[in-house]
Amino acid sequence: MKTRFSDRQLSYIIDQSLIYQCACPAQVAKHLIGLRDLFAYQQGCLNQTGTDVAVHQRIAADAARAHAALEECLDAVLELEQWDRQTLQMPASLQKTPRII
Amino acid sequence: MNPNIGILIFDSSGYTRSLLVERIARLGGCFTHAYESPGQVDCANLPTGSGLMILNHHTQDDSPAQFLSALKAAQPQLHVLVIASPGTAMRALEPMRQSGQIDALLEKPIDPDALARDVREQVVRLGAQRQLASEHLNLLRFLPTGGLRRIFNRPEPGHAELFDMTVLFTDIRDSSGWINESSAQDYFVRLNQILGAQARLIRQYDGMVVKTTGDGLLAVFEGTARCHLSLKCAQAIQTAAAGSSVPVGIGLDDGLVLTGILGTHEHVHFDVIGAHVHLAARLCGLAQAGEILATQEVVDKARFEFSFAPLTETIQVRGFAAPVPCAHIQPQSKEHA
Repeated sequence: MKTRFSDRQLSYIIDQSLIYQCACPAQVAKHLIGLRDLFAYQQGCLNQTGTDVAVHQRIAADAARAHAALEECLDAVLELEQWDRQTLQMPASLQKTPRII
Repeated sequence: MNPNIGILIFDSSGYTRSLLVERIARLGGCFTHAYESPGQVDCANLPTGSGLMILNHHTQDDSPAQFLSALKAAQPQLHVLVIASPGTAMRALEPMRQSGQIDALLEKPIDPDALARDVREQVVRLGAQRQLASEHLNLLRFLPTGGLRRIFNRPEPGHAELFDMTVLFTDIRDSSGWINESSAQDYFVRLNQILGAQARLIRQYDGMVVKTTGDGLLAVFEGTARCHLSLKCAQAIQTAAAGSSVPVGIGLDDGLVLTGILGTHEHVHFDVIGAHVHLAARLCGLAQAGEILATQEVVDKARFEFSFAPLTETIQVRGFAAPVPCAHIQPQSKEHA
């Protein structure tokens, strides 16, 4: 499966979005990690019958398609929100103002 | 919520750390200490009252495995909650959750309500646990001290065991006159001070307080040097009493004593009973103010060399068929062990 973002980059995006209410890109990143897990799991599944092979191939292929679509989505969202594409740093304007430091 | 529960927050990002502190502070009833890195605390000496630790692990952070292992080893009661990104970080930490080094593992992005719920539950649980421990400690104060507590290994009513012991009774002389001269509250405070001081001396000489007896104490001593120590203790009590102008009489006897638990399954209390307990109580009653009245057996076993030889006398004690050889020991008698 081809990837635009490494696991580490996805984790870094999630790290910056600790809580749900400022976590839209993180939600996408989280599902991307989930899809990678699903894809990897299908690769390791036992194939005892011809049906098994077809099932696992179908799930893996659709996981890869969903993954590609969501990566494109994440790319677009980061662009829209003006994240730093080099460092993947969340823009200061998106950060909630902490009341206690 | 119990206000005494401290929550330690570790987060290498100032931004997310401040969010966490803000969220936890909203819960109320607990206090937080926030740190940038685990290296800022000594696992063996956490801030007083710490009951919960929250670590927000970031991808670029060093692995927290070593810190969490050391923390759990030093503070097994501490509830450890870790927040991590799904994927690699989560998979790396999952074995620690399974082995109990992490108590709760939350996936980012977290639901603030779920975090608040989890933290609140833990704080309530820890508060209840501390309340129970505090009540337990308070209850222990009502029990006899020292080795006598072994009787509570089988806390059934009627359970009793025989032990060789020296029995010591103290009694404040003329306490009825004293109580009439002061208010009940003042009397109680003063009595508590005097009996408290006696109890401290008894513990200092390896004795065990069984109970108070109105205006005195019942204590027992065990072991091969029990007569020596009990006599020394009696002298120390009389010396203290002489300085406080509250005269005390003391009785001592030695022998087999039955220690046991009396009562029903609903209510039990500990006591020591037997002829030697009765005799020590009677001798205490017969002792003059400032005097120790001990059986000759106690004096012989104590192996003291008194500066002034105690006055020996065979006393007919009520309730005892045979006269009892006794020794009157005055506070000015100095022993040379």
